[in-house]
Amino acid sequence: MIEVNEGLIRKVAELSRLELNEQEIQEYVKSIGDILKHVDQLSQVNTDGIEPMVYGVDDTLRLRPDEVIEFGTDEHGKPKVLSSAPEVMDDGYKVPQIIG
Amino acid sequence: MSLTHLGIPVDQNTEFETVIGLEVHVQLATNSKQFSTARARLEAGKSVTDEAVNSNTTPVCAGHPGTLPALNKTAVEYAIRTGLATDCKINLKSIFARKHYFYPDLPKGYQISQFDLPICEHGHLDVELGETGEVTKRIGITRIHMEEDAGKNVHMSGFSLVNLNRAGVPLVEVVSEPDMRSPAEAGAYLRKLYAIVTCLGVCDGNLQEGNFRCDANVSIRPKGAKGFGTRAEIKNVNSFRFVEKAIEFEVERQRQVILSGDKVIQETRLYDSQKNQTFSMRTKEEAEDYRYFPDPDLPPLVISQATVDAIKAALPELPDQKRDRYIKDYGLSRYDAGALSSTQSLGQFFELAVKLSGTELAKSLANLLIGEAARLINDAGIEIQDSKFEPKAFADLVKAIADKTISVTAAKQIITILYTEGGDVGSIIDREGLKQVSDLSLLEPIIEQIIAANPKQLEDYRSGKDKLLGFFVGQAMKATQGKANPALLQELVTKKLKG
Amino acid sequence: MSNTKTIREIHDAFDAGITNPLALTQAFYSKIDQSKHNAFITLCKDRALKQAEQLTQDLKSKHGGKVPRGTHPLYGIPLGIKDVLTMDGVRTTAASKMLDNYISPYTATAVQKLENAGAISLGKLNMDEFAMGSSNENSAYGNVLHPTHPDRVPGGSSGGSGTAVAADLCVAALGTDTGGSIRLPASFCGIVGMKPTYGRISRYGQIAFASSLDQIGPMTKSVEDAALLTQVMSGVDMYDSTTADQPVEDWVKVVRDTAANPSPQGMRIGVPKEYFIDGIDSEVRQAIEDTIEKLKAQGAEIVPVSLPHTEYAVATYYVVAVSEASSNLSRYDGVRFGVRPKAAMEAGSPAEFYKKVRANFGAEVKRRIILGTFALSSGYYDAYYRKAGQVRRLMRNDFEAAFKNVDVIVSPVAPTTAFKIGEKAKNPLQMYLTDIFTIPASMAGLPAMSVPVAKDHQGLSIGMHLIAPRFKEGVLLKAATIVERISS
Repeated sequence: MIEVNEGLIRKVAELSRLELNEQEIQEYVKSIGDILKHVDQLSQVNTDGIEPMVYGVDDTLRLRPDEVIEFGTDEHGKPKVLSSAPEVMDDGYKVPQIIG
Repeated sequence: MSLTHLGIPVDQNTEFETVIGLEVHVQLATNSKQFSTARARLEAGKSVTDEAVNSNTTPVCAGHPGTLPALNKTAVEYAIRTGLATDCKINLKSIFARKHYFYPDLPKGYQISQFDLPICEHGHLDVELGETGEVTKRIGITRIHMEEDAGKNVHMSGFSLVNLNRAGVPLVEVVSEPDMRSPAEAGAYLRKLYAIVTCLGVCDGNLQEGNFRCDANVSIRPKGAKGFGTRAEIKNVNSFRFVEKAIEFEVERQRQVILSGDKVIQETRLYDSQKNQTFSMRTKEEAEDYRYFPDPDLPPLVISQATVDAIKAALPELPDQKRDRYIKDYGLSRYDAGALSSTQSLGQFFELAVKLSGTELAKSLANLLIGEAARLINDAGIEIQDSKFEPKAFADLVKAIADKTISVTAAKQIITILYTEGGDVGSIIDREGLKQVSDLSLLEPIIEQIIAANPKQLEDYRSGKDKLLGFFVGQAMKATQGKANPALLQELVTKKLKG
Repeated sequence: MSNTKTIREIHDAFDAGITNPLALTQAFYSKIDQSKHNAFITLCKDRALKQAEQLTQDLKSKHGGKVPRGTHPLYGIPLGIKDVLTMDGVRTTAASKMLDNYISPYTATAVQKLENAGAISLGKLNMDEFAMGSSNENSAYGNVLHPTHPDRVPGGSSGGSGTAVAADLCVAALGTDTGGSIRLPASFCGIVGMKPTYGRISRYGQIAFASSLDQIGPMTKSVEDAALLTQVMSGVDMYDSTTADQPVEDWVKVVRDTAANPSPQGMRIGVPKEYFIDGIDSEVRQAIEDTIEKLKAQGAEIVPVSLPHTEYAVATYYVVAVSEASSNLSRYDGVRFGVRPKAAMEAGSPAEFYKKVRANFGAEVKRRIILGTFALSSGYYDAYYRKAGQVRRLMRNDFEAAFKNVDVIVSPVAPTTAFKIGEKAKNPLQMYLTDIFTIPASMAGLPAMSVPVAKDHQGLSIGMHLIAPRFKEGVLLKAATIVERISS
């Protein structure tokens, strides 16, 4: 059905923000081509009127009471969520201007 | 060479019609965030800038590996309230979906929103148009869906700092039909929607803090055309006046584009209020493909009809209902009643004052509140309850006007004093010497003196120049430093002139 | 300590004063230090030893030398934790270079529950990167070796967990299972692996691969231990909206009662014809058929069943799982956590910044992100993501029909025993087909187990796969106990 070629791999890699070298592109053209060929057998299955199963559970959404539970600060008084950030300045996540 | 737009020939004389659809992001006034237990709402009187950066975050709203969303119950209730107040159908089953794009203020690389099945659909609201608000127009609401706010990037020199305090704050996005035909209609729609969400208590309504933000989709077409022109989306304008001005600018820009033979392109534009113009956002590197799909972490949201009914039964009086009640109970004009019911706080203040003054003075109260008082408050960008104004002071004021203790002019002066320092109306009248002079023994000699000093004008008046009455009244008023009871003064002057 | 000690036996040894939590923990660390299996990525010795010391002290001073089994059913039990589960203050990598320096600021609910019950976490176990793999060859921290055959794979993605338990580097371990990631390594390594019903155990703190399929489960030396760990971890969690409000039974009692009288009398056991196909290793087939025969001989009713959509399982799974994965892995952008390469700071465009950061992903992870992004992209969504969801529904319907007539379904866990390192690494599709028997239960959200039943001529373990209806862990554990008994 779908033809997996370099163009498709490049386009999807761009959408995924993945940088691929020539060798990787060739490898993915082949392996993803094989996988999608295998996946194409799904088209043989008659699914007319079948509701897709998208959740692991049958339950409906449980709602959380609207209560604040603060996450707190580390021993230096800094917000604890910042602890593994690559770069922090004035408690903000520092990023190059190009992306901000 | 002849130009066409939507297949219709156009030139300098073509009358264009504006088509506007609005998407409003309403921040819900919940305690915690949409999907995390982090604090969502500012303390009263605080600004986002007062908050310590990234202090109101948990691993969930910072998108840490392994975290999952858990939906805020109150946010659901607020979304339903908003839907009910705008006559929407409430979907008893709705679905959360992920919308993917990469941006540093979007922690998970996707925003949790609703796509296929939003919580509310097919509503409308009525807006009042024209000078006195006598014309009503119904604007369709396509859908209201729940989603989460993004964080904020603060741009520094050479880098940016990401603050996630706002990331995950609950939003409802209210999407209108493209039913508005002028900037004024767009403004009226926004003001009405704002009145509704603040009246419902679902939104704090602080425009400066971004509680209520608007994206406007604007296009134009030759009057009578059936199709729609290509639209531009003006993003994130957070003042009603600026939305109107941005649309005005955009309409003229599009007209010029078309008349110069170019095509309007579909794009996102920003409005610069200082320059009063819209400009194109930096071009996207590629077409967006948001790859919406149902969020497997959030099973369908199912609400019972009983829950919806209970929320409906507990809805507060809505602005339109309040307006009608004011007209009926207090005999106010539609315009005055509409203005007083446009914000929760103003209506509350009015009703408290009316209780103290008596219903017969309601009109006078309305005049003072909508005129002088509202102007001062709007200029300061605050709510009436956050000012020094007290309902009792306004009740005292209208009583003082009614019993002729003070003039309306003096009342306005007193409002300015109340605004800056508050205080008791009686004491201010005394202190400032604003009491109206109605004493004949004081006024008559003054009038006689003025008539005597202006024989020429007296002669002209008596020979038929009636307009000169104003001259004499004015002179007399001036002589009393504006304190004379104007009605009485006029009566006395007329009598004396006629001799 | 012998490497067959179960939790019950260890508690008896604590009671008898033969050993204590601290001595046991130290003994495991010295074994881990000597081991060449590469089963752990990170050890948290200080944290574990401190905890063990406290528990040892308390055992004497607070509990009179007797293990408080009622309040702390895992008192002093050293466990290994798959490195896809977060622990506050402990490095959590998901075996990815992306998270090489990530110290999680919070603890996964399941781990917290185990520690609240007295368990000691020895460290973080190796795995396939982001749990994507069937052989543990996709780890940024190197292969995990098979516990007894160092030229072979331990299975994946919970390969570190499989080897660590089999090689007795911990009493039991946590794994996670998306399409077979607990059951396959359990089978290859010769231990018990259990994937509870989707929704049983909170996923909060489990780094997501495919959210509608991921489930935490125990990998243990006995069915009873699996029951105990599952029992401790199960239940509704406010932080995971997909945890099910279902009663948690006393499964340990179910196992003990069954062990006391291990008869399959009256049990209806389904054998799906689609699971006994060409391409199954003959020794594997023989071992499973022998076990079925034994069950029959002891009174079980063997019922042929059909699961007609089994042949589409791998295709369905690889659309659903990768679609969700491509979305779940969007958060790795080098802004809030994780490794940000220098090159990213010199990026000339936003896209380039993200690409330089996301170059940290390994080849298999990138492959799946691309596949998933494709399956969700505009123009392909209906033909791939939506279609797969529909076939998934049909697969679930197959099971529901079959379970009208049977209590459990049995099959091989995998078509082969542990294969050689590198044998399938070059052919992703062949690798994916390893999971053909474990995927259907995952797609349907069913509880399933792997119980060792035999060894092949090379001494490689063969596991029997047992599947039960949703939330019927009691039935599953009862059958597993019987299989365990008749195979020993």
